[in-house]
Amino acid sequence: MTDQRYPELTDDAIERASNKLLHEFFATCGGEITLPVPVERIAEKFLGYRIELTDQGLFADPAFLGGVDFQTETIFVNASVENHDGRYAFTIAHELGHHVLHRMQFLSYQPEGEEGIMCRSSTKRPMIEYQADRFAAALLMPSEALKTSARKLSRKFRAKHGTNALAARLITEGGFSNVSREAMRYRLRELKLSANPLMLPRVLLIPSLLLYRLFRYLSRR
Amino acid sequence: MTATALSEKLYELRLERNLGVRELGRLVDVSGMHISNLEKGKAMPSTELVQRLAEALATSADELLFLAGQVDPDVVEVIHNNPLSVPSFLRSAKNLTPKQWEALQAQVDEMAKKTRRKK
Repeated sequence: MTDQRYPELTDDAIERASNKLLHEFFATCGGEITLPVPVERIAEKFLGYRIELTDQGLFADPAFLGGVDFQTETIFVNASVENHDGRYAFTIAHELGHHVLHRMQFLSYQPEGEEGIMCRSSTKRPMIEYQADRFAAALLMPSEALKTSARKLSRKFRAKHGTNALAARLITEGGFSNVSREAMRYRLRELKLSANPLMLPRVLLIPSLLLYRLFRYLSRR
Repeated sequence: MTATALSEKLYELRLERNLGVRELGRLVDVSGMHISNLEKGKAMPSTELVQRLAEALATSADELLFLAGQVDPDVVEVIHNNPLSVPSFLRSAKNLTPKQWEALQAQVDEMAKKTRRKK
């Protein structure tokens, strides 16, 4: 399977595709996007997939985190991620990315009668895997919802703490409980929401923080 | 093994209750993978697990036990305690209509109530 079958997609196009799925799903249950995004319900109730946790076949290898079989409409999740909320939800969201972005091309090139599963591997990262990852991040952490949650945190907090603390706070208080800290940090950087409140160029950031700390120190005295 | 009446019923009920595979597993104290295997007909549940599943899915344990080809241990006990009368009773009742079964059930319930009061 070569990547030539699949079109290159801009990040904007992937964000739009993810938003479209979110809006279509939430239109069936009140219209408003709620967090954490219920990826299992989107997969099973809205799109008709079956989620199967397994350690059999390909999935005896923990490097294969998940897979999707479009013919049997099954999303496989490696049993090794069962107890990791973030990785579990991200794997399902990633497979939904393949459903939205790659299903048609995959099926049209699939030799008749041949079984085919698109797999999420922790080691191989071809273009379509990157696209499905980007889709998953956008689905679990919709940009508008994430920006709103980040804005609710005080500027002081964002100035004082690093991106790691910001990610942790958003996960616990922003409603993103099915997201890992690593995925959140990555998404914050993607959306330029890292802990740099004024979006200062890096050259100005360190002197600004030093000035801020000096000001705080003096005001305490 | 392929999907069975029980596996299909479990999957259908889980979706109706808006439960994820892992969530249902946690409610009944087994792994999500075991729930997946039950839903695919790759594993058969024990009687105790069927009863816990029925409770978690707010459904009749008798129906799930029937689909699993199992009998409630309480029922087995009644048969063991009445080895002659239960088979004889069931043979006599085998051609009753659903309505007659309902009437019979009402009578038995009434008799059981009286017995409890006497005690």
